[in-house]
Amino acid sequence: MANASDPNLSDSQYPNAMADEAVEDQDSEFLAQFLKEQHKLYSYVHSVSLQWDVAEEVFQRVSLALWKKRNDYNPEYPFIGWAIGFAKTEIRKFSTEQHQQPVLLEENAIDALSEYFVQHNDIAETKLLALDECLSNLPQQKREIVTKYYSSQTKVQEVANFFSMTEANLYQQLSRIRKRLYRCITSKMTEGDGHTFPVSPQ
Amino acid sequence: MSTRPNNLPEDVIELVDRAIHGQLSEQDRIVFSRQLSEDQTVCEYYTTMMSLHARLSLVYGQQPVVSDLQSLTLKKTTPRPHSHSRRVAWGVGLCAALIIGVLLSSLGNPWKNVPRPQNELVGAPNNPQNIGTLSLHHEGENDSQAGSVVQPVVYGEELELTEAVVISLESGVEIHVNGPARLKLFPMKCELIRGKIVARVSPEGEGFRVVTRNSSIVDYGTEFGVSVDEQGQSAIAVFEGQIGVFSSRSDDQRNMHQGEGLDVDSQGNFHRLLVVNDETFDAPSQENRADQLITSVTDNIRDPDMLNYYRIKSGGIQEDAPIYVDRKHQFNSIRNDTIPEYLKTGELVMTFNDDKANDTYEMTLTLARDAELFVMFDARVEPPEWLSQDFVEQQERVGVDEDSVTGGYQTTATGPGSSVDNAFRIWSRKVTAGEVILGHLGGNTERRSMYSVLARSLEP
Repeated sequence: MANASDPNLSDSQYPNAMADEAVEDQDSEFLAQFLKEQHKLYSYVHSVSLQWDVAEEVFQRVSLALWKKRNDYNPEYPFIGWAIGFAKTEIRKFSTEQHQQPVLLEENAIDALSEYFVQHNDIAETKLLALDECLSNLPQQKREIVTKYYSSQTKVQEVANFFSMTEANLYQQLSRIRKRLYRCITSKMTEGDGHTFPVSPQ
Repeated sequence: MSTRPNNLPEDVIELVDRAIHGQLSEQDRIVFSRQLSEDQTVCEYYTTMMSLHARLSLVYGQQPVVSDLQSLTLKKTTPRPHSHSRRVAWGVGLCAALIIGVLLSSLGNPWKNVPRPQNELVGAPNNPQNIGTLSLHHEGENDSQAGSVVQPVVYGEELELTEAVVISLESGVEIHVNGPARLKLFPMKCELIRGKIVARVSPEGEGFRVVTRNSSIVDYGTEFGVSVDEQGQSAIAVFEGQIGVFSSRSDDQRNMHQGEGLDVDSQGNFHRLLVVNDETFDAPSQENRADQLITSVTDNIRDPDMLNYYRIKSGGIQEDAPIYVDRKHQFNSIRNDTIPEYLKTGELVMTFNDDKANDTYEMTLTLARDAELFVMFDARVEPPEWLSQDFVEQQERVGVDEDSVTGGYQTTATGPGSSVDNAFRIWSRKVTAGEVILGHLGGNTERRSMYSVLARSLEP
């Protein structure tokens, strides 16, 4: 007789196909929301962390915590607010485990950033789409710097050497490129659907 | 031109740069934290720059997967019996592994001050201008055969193509272009201005995007098709895996799974793509349009929010041909036999195996010409009245090679008679051009599979 927990059963051998539907739908809804909002959550965690490896560690903890608590998620409420609430808890836990120098921003800054991400969630996606357009309009030389820097598996010094620059010059170039992209994004947002930024480009 | 946003002091901008590069001192940390908590404009500037920075890491990053997290997560997603929707199985199975294991861990290291493993560069060719190769795809070649290399593909190159080609990007993406088409290529992005493509993305290429005038499609490890017509309207369908689709002109966004399709109109609004046929993504439209026999397939059960499409494939049923849009099951001849000749030509409708349990199901086919219709019907199920009264049973049978829906060891095999799990009886009927309605599968056994349909024109 077919055993529904046997992973080797064929497609037609499950006697209670509808039984787990509700649970699966709930999981599916959660995961769909997660996929949709993951970039914003990732940006948030990196915003409050001082180092890339700290952000990655915190982000993985947050992801697992959310997965464990997925049954508590109510799809009637915005996912990002719920997820950032969890992230703050995980960040605090992580912070208390660090006995040496601080690896995160101060608590008041974390609160301010959490509030900002939740309140401005609606325009975050539009910004990302604007960025995609702005990226494609970057001059070729600047695109090469961005591509090499963000895709390379090597240290920053080696990337700088590749372009015959010093490390400081490379950071300076990247900073200028990001500001250029920022200006492009803000101008597209202002021209587009009425969203405006408190800081306008010069 | 100054690059300084005009409302912010230079020291704040400097602090944001240092924060992005992981270079804040303890004093910086305290000062910057205070500024963030007291000034909304600092918060806005910082979050935008950090989101930009994170996005670039995602777009260009090639960090290896953290396998222990993936396996930890996989353990948490115990195999489940499938329910009526394959989409759910993907949602749980793939997403759990992919989202919490792969996607979230496969991000680049943007701060660089943390030494990273000296892996061989992925997607960084010897010549930084070259990002892949372009090969002609000759008629008759199957998809796995490589054509002759014609030219390298250069970063940001805009191509105007008149015939079928295969573009292999070093980032792990293979793009089958069915000319005429116009597109622009980057290591992790294709801007499709016009034409039809099918993208196959390896795990290394996850995050690859196809951008059209009205939508942005993000790959999550998959195979999918995109077409853009002269008016800028897009059609998108997932053949395997999962993608995210974002409208660039409306608030619409969807995660799509295997067997799901979307039309995106010129306003960026999403609509269900009802049918995927040979001309949707695979072949030049004008050549096939006149020959098309099945012009539409609809049913009475699909919710407007569902995105499932029926797939119509020409070329009849061959060994190892896929049966369903929502499963990997295949047709095979029964051992010591062959697939009947009359099934080897015509148009096959790939149906949804999930529909087998729906007792109200009705399928409506629209035929352009008079045709002979063949229904491949599960031999374990008592034929329902609509079948036994109107169709004639043939002597031959065709085998079904099932793939496990739960990731177990039962998989499909290649070749005649291999790994056949059960069989279809074959029923036929001659019908005139116009609409034909077929009923539900019926039967009370749990071990059953949905039927599939093949139509052959009666006109020469």
